[in-house]
Amino acid sequence: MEHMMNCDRVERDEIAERYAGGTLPEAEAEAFEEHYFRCAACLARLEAVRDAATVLRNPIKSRRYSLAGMALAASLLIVFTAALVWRLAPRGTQTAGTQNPVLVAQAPGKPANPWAELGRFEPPPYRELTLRGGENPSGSDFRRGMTAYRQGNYGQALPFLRKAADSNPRDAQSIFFTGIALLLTGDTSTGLEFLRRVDALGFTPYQEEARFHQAKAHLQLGDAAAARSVLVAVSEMRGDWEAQARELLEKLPR
Amino acid sequence: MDVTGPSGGEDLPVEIALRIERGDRSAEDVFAKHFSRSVFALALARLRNEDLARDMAQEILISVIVALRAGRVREAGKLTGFVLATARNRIANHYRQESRKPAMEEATESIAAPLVEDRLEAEQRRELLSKAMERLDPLDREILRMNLVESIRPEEIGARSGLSAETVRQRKSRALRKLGEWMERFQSQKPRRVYQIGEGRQWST
Repeated sequence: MEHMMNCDRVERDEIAERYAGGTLPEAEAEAFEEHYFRCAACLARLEAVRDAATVLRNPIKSRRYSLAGMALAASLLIVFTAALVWRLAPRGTQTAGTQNPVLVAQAPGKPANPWAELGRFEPPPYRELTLRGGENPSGSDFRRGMTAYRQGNYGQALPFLRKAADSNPRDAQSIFFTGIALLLTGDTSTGLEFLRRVDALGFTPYQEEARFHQAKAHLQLGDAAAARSVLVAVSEMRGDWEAQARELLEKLPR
Repeated sequence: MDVTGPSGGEDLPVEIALRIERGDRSAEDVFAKHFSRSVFALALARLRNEDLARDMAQEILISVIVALRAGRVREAGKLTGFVLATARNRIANHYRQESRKPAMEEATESIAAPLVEDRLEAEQRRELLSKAMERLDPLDREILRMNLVESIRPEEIGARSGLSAETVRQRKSRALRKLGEWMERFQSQKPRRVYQIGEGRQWST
């Protein structure tokens, strides 16, 4: 039958979305009605689609997320995948000269930090975005800093990033990458402070990742209890870093 | 008194129709609870006006209950089809500007409570959904916004964000599922409202 409907097709062909939007041809609309009157899952999907569209069109709190935030989140996904691949790859397959994830050098005379290995992380990537609004809101210092950052020159990136962060205390993007660059250049305590500043800004596209890297900083500093506390907060955010946070939590003492 | 029928999905057993015909008012509750969401969804999709859809869904349910009381549906598997056909006819009548009064008048004596979610409940649900939306991953929320509000296809969203279309679809489905689950949890936790219907009978949501 031409308009045979099933749950897979509802999802694949965005049937509920088109039905709710009034763009589904009549015969298909009727077939979908026959289906969701008997399928609780597809009725729930239709309701979710309909209500989500209403709420997104008329947000109760005016909190819009830009394409920049989306692209950053996408880049976080790539980092996550890269980190996973790195973690799963047999150590012997890493080519000589490949930049290893950061591990803070052990200060002479200090006892070995048992959590240093867990404090490793891949530098979060950054991609220049083409925004509909034009200029990157973080400004030219940020762009210059991130050019150096992308080349792996974190020391060179720092002064520009700090300037960008200092000139706009609410620019989560600049503050976040300043914090990361500080961690990458071994100034873990100051880096941690910057990451906490991102957190203090409240809900931004960087909050979850900043928290996760705070945990990494704590581990680099040998404070497993503080790392645990932050990781619990990350896992409770139910975001993209939840799985990594839980994985790390399992390796830490209770 | 059994008022905890299934909430949408699957066919209702024909016994419900027979019980309604025999005058079992608790069976009417089960019936209304089972179909209220899907009938409202259909009315809203067809009429594209929430208040009108709410009134229409109420009217459709009442109309079917009246028909069931009269014993017009007795065959197994026909109940859902009958509700669907009634809904479509009523809505078609609305578009033909025929009177919608008879069914309402017929049943007003014995059914005085709302059978579908009222406006206040809808607003509360939307407020909760708004909060649930904030708990979503920002990327998922943006995918929903682009897809549901701006009608951008997953392929295009993928091209803009560097994700594959399949990943966009998966993230969207996951987000919708999460929203559905959170809202379902809300529905199951909210205090049950009790209405008086007809001869001292109670109907709760």
